[in-house]
Amino acid sequence: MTHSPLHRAPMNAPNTVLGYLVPQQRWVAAGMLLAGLLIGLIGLTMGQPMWRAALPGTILFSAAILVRWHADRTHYGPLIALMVALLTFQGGHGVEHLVQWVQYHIIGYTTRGSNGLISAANSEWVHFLWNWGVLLVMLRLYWLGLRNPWAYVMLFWSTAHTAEHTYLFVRHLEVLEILRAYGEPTITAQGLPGIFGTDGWLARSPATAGTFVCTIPGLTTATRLDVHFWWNVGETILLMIAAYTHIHRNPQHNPAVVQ
Amino acid sequence: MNRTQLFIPLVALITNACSVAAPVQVWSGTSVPVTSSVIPYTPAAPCSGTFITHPMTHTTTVQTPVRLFASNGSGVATGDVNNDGQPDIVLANISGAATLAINTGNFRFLEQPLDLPNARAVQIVDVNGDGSADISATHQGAGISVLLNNNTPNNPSFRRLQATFGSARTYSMLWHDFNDDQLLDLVTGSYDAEAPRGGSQSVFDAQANGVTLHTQTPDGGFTQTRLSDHANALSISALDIDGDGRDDIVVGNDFDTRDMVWLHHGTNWVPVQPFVSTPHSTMSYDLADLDRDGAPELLAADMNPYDTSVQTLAQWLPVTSRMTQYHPADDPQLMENAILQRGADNRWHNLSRTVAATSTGWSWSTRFGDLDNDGHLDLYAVNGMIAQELFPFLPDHALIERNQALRYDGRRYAPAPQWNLDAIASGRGMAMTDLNADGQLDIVVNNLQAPSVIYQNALCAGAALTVSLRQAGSNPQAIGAQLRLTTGDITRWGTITTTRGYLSGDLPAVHFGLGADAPTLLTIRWPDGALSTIDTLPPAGHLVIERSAP
Repeated sequence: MTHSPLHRAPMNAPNTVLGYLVPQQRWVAAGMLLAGLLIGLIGLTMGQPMWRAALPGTILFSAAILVRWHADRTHYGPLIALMVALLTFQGGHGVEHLVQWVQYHIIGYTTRGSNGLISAANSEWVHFLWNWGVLLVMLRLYWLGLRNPWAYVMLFWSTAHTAEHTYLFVRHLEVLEILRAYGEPTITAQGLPGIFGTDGWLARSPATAGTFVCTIPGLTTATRLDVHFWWNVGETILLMIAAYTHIHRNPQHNPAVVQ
Repeated sequence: MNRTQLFIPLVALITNACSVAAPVQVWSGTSVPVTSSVIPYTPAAPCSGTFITHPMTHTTTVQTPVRLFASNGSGVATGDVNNDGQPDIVLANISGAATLAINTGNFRFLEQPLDLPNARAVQIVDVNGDGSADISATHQGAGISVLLNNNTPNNPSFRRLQATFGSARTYSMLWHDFNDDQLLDLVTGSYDAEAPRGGSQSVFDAQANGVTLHTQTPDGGFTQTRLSDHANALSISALDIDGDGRDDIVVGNDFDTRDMVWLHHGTNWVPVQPFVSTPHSTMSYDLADLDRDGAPELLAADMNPYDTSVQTLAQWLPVTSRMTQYHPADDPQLMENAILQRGADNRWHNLSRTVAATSTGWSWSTRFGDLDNDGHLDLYAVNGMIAQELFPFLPDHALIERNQALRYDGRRYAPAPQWNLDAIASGRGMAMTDLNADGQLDIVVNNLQAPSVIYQNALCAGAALTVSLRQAGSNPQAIGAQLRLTTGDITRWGTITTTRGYLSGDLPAVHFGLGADAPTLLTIRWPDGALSTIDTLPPAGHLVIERSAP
């Protein structure tokens, strides 16, 4: 049994993805975002670490999305509400990876030091749970009726991304256990190589040694930071296209089609 | 951060991804005649497809528990000390006497102590240009020493060179003629990490002396030019960085200290940073022509685990996680091997990821060499680390790693465990020389806390041509000369040097593996820029070329 998007949006529903993403109470949202940034800046000038300075803004951002999700659910139904929430959260997550990319390539931090804004959240635990969360939400969206070729590609993409993070997470736990046995319980074991990238399984496995697989530009030559930047860029773009396609193919979300 | 700094990494990313090798420099110069002779290779023993291990008596042993920097071990050099045509071996020992191993043939060596106490780097090089190979060494807690060869073939004996090299305590060195006066000059680098800082204790009484060029004068003395006040120099190389036909100085530094380059402009030395990326801790340099375009690539080795199993990563993490977490925007250092090639933009770009050679372990001496004579340069890295401070959680404080032999097929490297070169004896210095004149490169490794080893090459190999040069004057082995060997539409480059890898060196000859190719043209660019060409070449053998007197 599957759900169909029975909920009919009101006639003043936005007909673009951007229209759904921009909150109707945009001044309130902008105010919350500015308040978060201001608190963050004050925190930074007071010598707080980046992750702590970014925390109030992140909490406000998340609260705004949840409020918006509730309102969207009432106005446009569960599919749109969940899709918009996922897009917003994934967009925020993408920004975090963008910041990491800037820290590494532009500012010049090491890969281990390029932790984004919420460095405390840059852990294998968080990435593992996040990606499983994205995958489960995508499955829920499919269940609710998000079905178009781009949604299927996104589903495949997020499944592959989650698989890599599961691989990373399992290895992370194994390494931590060995480090504990060494009497080194404070080592974080972050940033271990995954499946892709220059130190990843594909590049360094005995099974691929000496084959073209270990030198595919980007896929097996990029740093882990770049690999996950592109994972998330891909995820965000695919989700946006899937949402766009859904909105434009379904009359109840597109007044222009209804007319 | 200014706008330039902001765009450096972006430009670097784009240019590195899209780098094109610089056009091969056209050699021009006065043509000088030569005579040549060919020494046929001795018939190789039946091949077994592997290397045969010959343990030596010499062991570089340090006090246990092994402390940081004592763990850095010592180098090894090959060269013909007794002028019998067979390469001999000198093995340095950081905490004892060095060993001179006289080659008596068929992989038998007569080992005898050598008056070079606590030696780090070692080279066999004709310092005074008298036609006999001398021995030069850097020492732990002391300066440079040079043992001049008394040329007593049956019983090699030496006398100390009385020249002063200043009070500088040095770690690495390079002998090379930089000013075309036919006299070999010396570049030395210190290892400041050993120096006690802020009242802290150090194992060694090191001093921060930086990089110094010692220019030899006609009276056998040396004048000093300080190039840098600080260094963590594990390796030094001479290489024409800017393509102006003159060799420049390249210094590979450990830790955060960036690799240093000085361009030779007239009588001045100008510091530049031509490398788009370098290793973080440059352990050793080697020069060879990987892509066979007639121009050199610079191999710079670093520490990076070759194996990404959880066991290995857990062993490395306590060390790597305590390394620096910040590097400036224009810092080119990455923790992996680099194979640097001069690009059309005159900067040096890293090829190591595109040929799968980024990670060979905690690599000390790492060398190019066509081990199977198939015409492509293979790579060998000797590995391991022992240090109480770094690995208190491992048995005997030892990170046990296998030496890595990588075979190159012209496109990428692949591990070659079948060659039986994957020892776990904590190698440090390494030399790659044809010890039995059969045309195949053998290997000597100076291990730490384990006997040194000779690996006899018994691979089923193709043809090879070895080239050595002779000229009149005080640089009789033509150190600094460059060679281009053409086979069909391929041109291989090589250089005559006695400094290669980590604290080590080879006899001054170039080994060209040929596979099934037939050599058609050899061009020699002598150290003074004069050119010679030979278009009648043997298909294989040791080619000795003598520059005719003017």
